[in-house]
Amino acid sequence: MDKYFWYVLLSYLATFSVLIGYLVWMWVRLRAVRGEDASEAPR
Amino acid sequence: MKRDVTTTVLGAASLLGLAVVLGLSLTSPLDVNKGSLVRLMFVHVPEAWLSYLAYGGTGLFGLLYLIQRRRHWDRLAMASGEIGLLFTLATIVGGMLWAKPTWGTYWVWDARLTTTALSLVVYGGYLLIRSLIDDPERRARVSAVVGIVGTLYVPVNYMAVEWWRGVHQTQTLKLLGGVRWDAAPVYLPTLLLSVASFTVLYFFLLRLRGILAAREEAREERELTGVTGRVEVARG
Repeated sequence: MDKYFWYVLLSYLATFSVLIGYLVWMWVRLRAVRGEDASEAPR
Repeated sequence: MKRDVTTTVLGAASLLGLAVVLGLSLTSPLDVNKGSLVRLMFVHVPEAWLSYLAYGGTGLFGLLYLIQRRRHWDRLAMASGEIGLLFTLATIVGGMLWAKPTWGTYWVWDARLTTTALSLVVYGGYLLIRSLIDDPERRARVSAVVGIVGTLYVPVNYMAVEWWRGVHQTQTLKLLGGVRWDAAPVYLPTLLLSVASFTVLYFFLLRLRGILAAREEAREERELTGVTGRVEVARG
């Protein structure tokens, strides 16, 4: 660990936050679409 | 529900690749001059590569749509543009965090930085245009043209460090005019593995976003058909 450690950590956090945020957003929307499909399905 | 094996395999490969890269990056030896800042390269370069790949994808899928007129290509073009935009944003944030200790400031209007920021405008505009057009066929046609033109911007961004003198360093891994590696050899395998992992990640995200777009489009069409049907019934 040196004086630049926090810059490195923040940069990695920013990248993985973008990635995880995008995956969560897609997962929420996929669930919503699936839920709507299930409720519209003929009984 | 049928399990999508390809998406699962791509997701697992991305996760594994990124975990290995993370481990290798954070334990790589410190650079004599840059100290631990050298570790930023293992994320900054691959995410910039991913955004280039995604913008290239937007152009390619747009072109395929114009040739074949299959909506599948339009959905992939949109997904690719969205992924490219997100990773450009991550590239800029990572770059700013690298710039502060190196140049003493988070931002300068250097050619590479400026052209990267402009690519946010180009692809933000691409997604904005899509959201403003309701007719799916027209939306696909117009955005395909914008996507193809936008892709021409990628080489300008890539070559900006060569064409205009600025504070941003030239490519560490030179690919044009003979392959050359301008850093300590110990860093090359980790960087290559990271680039490969981000490439797999791109295909995973592309596939997942494509599936989501297809399902949303199918739902919209069902809603539209339902509305049209009800109007026709009301008219008798």
